[in-house]
Amino acid sequence: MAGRLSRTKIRALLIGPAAAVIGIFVVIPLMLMAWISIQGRDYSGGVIWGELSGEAYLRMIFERELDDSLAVNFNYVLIILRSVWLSFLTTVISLLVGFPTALFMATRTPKWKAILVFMVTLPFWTNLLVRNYAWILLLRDHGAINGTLSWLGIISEPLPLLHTQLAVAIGLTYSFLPFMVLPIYASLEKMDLRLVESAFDLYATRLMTLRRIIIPLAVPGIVAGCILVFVPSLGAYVTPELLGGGKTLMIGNLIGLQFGAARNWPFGAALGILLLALVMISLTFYALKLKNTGGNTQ
Amino acid sequence: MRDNTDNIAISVRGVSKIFDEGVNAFVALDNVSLDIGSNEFFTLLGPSGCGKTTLLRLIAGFEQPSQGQILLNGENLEQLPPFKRPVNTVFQNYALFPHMTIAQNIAFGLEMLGRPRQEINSTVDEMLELVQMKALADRRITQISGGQQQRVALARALAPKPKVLLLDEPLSALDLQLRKDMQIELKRLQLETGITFIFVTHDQEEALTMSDRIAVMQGGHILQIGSPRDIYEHPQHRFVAGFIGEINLLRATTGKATPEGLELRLGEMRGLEAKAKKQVSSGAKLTLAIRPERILLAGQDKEPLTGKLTNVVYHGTDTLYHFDLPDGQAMRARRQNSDKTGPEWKIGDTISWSAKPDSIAVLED
Repeated sequence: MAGRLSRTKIRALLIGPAAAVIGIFVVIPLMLMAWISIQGRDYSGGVIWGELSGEAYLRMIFERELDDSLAVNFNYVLIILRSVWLSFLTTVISLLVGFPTALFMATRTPKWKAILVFMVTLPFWTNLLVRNYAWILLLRDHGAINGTLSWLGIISEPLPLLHTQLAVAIGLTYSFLPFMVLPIYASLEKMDLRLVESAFDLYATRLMTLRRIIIPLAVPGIVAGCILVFVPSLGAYVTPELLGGGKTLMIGNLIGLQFGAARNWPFGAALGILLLALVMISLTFYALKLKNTGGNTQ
Repeated sequence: MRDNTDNIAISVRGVSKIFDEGVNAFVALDNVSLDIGSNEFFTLLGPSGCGKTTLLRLIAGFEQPSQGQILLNGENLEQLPPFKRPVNTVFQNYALFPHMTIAQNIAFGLEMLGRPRQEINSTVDEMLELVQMKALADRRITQISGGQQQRVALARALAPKPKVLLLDEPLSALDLQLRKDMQIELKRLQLETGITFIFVTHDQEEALTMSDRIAVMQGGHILQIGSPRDIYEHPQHRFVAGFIGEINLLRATTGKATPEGLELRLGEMRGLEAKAKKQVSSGAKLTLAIRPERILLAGQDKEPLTGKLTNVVYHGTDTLYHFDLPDGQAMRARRQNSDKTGPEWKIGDTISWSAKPDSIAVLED
């Protein structure tokens, strides 16, 4: 009896720290965010605690006129759609660049693999802000790209590169590319290269081997990479701020604005919940996809 | 080598393969030549690192020879990538596609060749029948046992009806009983399909039981090519004798020529004769090879040669007798336990023995 009791205690003690971490860092902040999103708005910032209101969620689609009637306002929907579109674009570009990179890396000798993985992770060693500023230097009107092109005589007027959706997509791709390369590399690296030989042996050309053997076996890595690029892109703040020049707002910037200049905490929190919902949807998609492919490569 | 050039499937001519040119150069194959007949079950036998797998990979097209040529039905295979060679491989660990079903694996080669769907389906059915896997056609590779994977690998490689099937130690991952069953199965498949099989193994028993001919390899060279019986009974090389089966290797000196061939002396002891193939001068030192089961054992003074028993090991079907010769060389002799009451020789007893001239091989070192 005593032994049984102490076992329960031991279990509680063992689970305790993990539960505390999840509680303090995940559950409580999320509850707080959800709670704030349904509170009344304090116009000087913060919320009126205890005053329940659905105003923040209405505001995503409707605008309250002076006479208190609701009018449809698609401005915020547009920003949300733009966020999804830019994240999607980023994911596609990352995949197109990242897959060949990962395939190249996975087929090197062990020594070169280690060096290449190190090189892929190298950008993480510097600050994200600094790296985005570097792109400003490259993309601006008299920056490296426009400078080179006009020096070569290809263009006479500088191309409008900075402060465009393209600039944001390039910046996001650059920031999150390692998250695409590494999972794909991991799934390709453990693939048995004899499968490729085996496909060659069975009359498959290089292209066919890529299509029928290599890509299907890399699907778990591809899906993981897409999620890891899409999700943080959706909530990106720094890159659209710097490279979009305030013209190309994404959800992250909109949320930042609500807690800052706009002083609309409930709306900011509601947008946070929406972002969470979008992420959950893509993760559910990921889980279903994994289930369909059997969830393994071996 | 075979004389009838019309029936040669694969002809390897002066092929060398050197990996990592320069300081780290490693010669995997050194000027190897051999002809393999069509419908032949040909085995490349040797220890790991002897070059047998390299030779197989050269035939498959995964590697290119540094020197020499490989011909298939008289046509030079040089520059042909693996996917253009009518040759299929059964890989050591099968290399089956894990994301496909058994039927999809078998159909893969046919699909790549662009065969019509109807033909693919009927060939897949035929192959499933051949390897007795029909009931499992829609299972995934991860859901079947090693022995079943082996059969699928065979079916997949046979489905495109290649001119030559290459098998790279395909049985090494199976347990003993399954391996023995598969040996019989492989031989049956080869006879039924009439395809040339080139089989790579380090297992001498596997080589002896299945092959029409065996090439014994060591250090990038082919030491001897012959039928299993030929290789076992008449090894020409010390390594071949030692690698295949159990054998006694004895240092001997030559005596005078006899009507049978050549008299041999083991130390001071006389009474052994071999069939001499070439002229050897009297008093020359050489190595003899005698299989343990070819030694005739008898009680003291019944046979011309003597030995002192050092160990007796009972094996059920036979008994292995270890004994020392007067000059100190150790020998083993195997004796069938054909009746219950065999001789009750004990350790320390002196026994007598002999061997027939045609049981003795005189070896090159």
